[in-house]
Amino acid sequence: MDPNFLPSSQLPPALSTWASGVDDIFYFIFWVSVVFFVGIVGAMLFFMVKYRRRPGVKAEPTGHHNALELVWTFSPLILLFVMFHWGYTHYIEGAIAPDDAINIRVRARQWAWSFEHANGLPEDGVLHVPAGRPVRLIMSSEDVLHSFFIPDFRVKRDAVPGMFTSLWFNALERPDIDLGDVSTPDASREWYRAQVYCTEYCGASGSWDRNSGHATMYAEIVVQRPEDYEEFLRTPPPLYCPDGVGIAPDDCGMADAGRRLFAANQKGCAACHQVDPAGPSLAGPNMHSGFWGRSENLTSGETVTIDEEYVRDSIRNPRARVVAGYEPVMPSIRMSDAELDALVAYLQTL
Amino acid sequence: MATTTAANPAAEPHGHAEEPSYIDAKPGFASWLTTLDHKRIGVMYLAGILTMFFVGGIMAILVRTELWGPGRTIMDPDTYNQVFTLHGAIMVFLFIIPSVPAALGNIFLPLMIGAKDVSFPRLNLLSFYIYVFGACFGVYSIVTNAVDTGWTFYTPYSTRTDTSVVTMTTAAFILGFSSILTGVNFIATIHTLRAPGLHWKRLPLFVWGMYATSIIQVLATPVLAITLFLLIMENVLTLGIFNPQLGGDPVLFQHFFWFYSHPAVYIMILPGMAVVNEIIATFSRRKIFGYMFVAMSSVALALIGFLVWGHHMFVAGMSEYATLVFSALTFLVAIPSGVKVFNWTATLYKGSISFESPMLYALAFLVLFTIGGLTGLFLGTLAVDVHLHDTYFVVAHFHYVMVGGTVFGFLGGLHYWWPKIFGKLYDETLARIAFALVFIGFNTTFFPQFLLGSHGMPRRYYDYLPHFQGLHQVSTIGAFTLFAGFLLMAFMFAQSLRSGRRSPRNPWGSAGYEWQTASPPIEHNFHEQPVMERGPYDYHLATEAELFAGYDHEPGGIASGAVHAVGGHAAAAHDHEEGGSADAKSREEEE
Repeated sequence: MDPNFLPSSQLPPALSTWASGVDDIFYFIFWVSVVFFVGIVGAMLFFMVKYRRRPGVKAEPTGHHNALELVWTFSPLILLFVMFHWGYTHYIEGAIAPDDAINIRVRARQWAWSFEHANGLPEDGVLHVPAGRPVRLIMSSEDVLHSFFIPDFRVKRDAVPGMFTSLWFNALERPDIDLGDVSTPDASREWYRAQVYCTEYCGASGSWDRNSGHATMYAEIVVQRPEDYEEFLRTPPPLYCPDGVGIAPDDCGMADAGRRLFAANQKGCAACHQVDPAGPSLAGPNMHSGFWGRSENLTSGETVTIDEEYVRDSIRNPRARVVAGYEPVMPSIRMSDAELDALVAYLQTL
Repeated sequence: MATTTAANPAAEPHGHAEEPSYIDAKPGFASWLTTLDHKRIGVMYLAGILTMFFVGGIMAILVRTELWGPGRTIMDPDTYNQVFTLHGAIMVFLFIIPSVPAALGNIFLPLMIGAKDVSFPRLNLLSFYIYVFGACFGVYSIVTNAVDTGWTFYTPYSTRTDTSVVTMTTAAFILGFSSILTGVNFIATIHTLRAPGLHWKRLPLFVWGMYATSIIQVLATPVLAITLFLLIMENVLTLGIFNPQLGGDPVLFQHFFWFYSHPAVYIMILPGMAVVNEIIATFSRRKIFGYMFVAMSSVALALIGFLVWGHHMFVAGMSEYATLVFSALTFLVAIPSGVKVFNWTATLYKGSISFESPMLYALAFLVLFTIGGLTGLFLGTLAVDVHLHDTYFVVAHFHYVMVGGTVFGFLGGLHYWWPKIFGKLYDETLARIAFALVFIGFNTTFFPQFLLGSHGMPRRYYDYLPHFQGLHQVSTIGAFTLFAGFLLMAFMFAQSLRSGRRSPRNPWGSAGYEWQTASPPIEHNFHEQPVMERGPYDYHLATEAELFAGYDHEPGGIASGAVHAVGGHAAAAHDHEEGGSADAKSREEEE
């Protein structure tokens, strides 16, 4: 059995400057709760034994005790006020980002997170951030409600269509993790990662084989030393081998990169487009073998050939020329020219 | 002995021996469908909500089975999303909300205030038919529209593909009318039909709970109608109200939804608390400690419950000042909740406590509601809620309140009043085994979910990361244990209906008013207008003979006829003095 069958603590590691404050309040409420629970249930069990029904012993009539009533009505207010006040002041700290925070745009859509760094560098599914610097995420949604949740940082905020929301965090520096020789900045050096979840229900599509949905709308925060992050911003890893981790050199071609971009948690194409002719029908046309070069009728009544021009235009301007039988629901998905090239290269291999 | 017990209606004094019970009063199925008798309407409600409880329970088992492992276990993600939506919508709108008020309240409210019926018997039947219609409409629209939005129907997800949110809100709105009519009926009944002598300070606490619940039902449910109206306006006239593409605000929908649905949480929990009052008083043979504080805490919960809806939206993009106000108001809820728990515990002090199955449910309620209430403190605290919001911690918290609270209260009430409703006893041993399975199964299911949530496991996930699997499996094992407990309970009750022994008038020896008439009651509840000369918990004023043979309202104490006609009960009372309960006596008779 998994050695992590049961967790050894109540909370995950606290990896942001704000998180340990949350944990202090959490444990304060926890111990207050334990005291009250033990007191109430202990008294209950004691009375259950002591005053169980016995021959010849009658219940005593219930008296009045207004002083006792008033004490237990009003005295908990003190503890409640402490919880409320502590929780509120710490919350306000977490609500207002420091002036020197780095701004990063976050765009949510069914079912992927896209990021854009301050210098315009885009990322999908993975966000690089510097340790020890406040980072503010400015979030929007292109379709339905989503919620950006990083348990290790204790932060969460909904992404709401038609509105900008934000959250900020300052990822801890972790001297406990030895990075070896750090004399030269390295764009691909990672200090540690933190998991991101979507916590506002946003639906699902398709069968599990090609699932994409609320439950897999993950992302990861990659925390780097600030020097490495600066390097990352200047020299992003080559597109075709994003971070070089776990990818064989012969899997670093343009079409291979396109295949990875196609996935549900990257550009998210797979959420609506099957590449398996036998797969279930999804919101968009099936892109199985032979689709390249095929003729399709459009909702406008015209006929087009699926070629490089049509595919590129449909990604840039998705609702202009829609294949008959489908709804104009495809969102505009931001991508660089290089990414578009890679996707087109991949689609041609199908 | 057994024959004496079976001749229980003969126990009625004043020569009414031949009068049949409400069940036998009129023959035929049609007489049930057209009945105006509050007890028959309550029994029909009971059948309806138990059916819905079963359907919702099947959905819960499907959800927990799918979550046995990551990835696909038994169904596809879209099926899973529909199943958990069905589970939530059915349990909330078709089971929990009507469970205690419409079923048990309908049957016992008039009995407990010494009335012949509710104020508006026809309205009462109408509300039942509206419930049936709303239930059919709701289930039909969920199934045909494949609604997968969760029971909260948040926009814009719920408005993107089809108009399912309109049909579902319509269903909730129809059901709401059923609630409103029941609420109006109860308020009128409590104000106008109390028996002579039953002043407000003697009102059974169950009735106080129903009163507070009715206030919320009447005031909160219309907001649902406003929400529905705005949704239809948006769809038909393309007004931008909730849809951001039309310039609307999706957060506004959340405000409207929770402005109804948060008070609805108190529509659910207050009746559970109301039942527990009665059970604790009866089985500890004591008036509830701090009677007036307990009664007023129900009213306070009903009122504060209207002011805290924003705590469902702390991370939804609300102003920080709004979160400040909602957090502060949310903490106020802890005060009346605490008052109730403290007073229930204090009631046990110097009581004479016995542990038949209804009392086991009431004591379990006390434990589970305390956990549910205390974990609410984490969620009311702003900084901590940011982490826990929309995780399994919330799922565990509201199941501890809704199931550990309301459902345990409802089950306690069902066990407690079963002999009164159907005039049959049930197998106490089976009932206790079922209780043990339900209690252990419930905690095994939901306690691990607190840990899942505090470690960051989000709600409504079809799939999960591998490190959550251990706790998910514990939870699933618990769910099957819980389900087994419910099946055993269903068998136990079915056995009681089929072959249960006749119940005496007052098997628990309660001083409550509803126990003073026959089991099952006659059609008009009492032979003549009862006069309440003592409170429903005045065990120190009631004699042993009263408790077992029935309280007689004639001045001068027990009518001699009552004691003579029920030799069996007098014997039971005698037995009680020697330490045995009436129930134990009945079991001895069977042996």
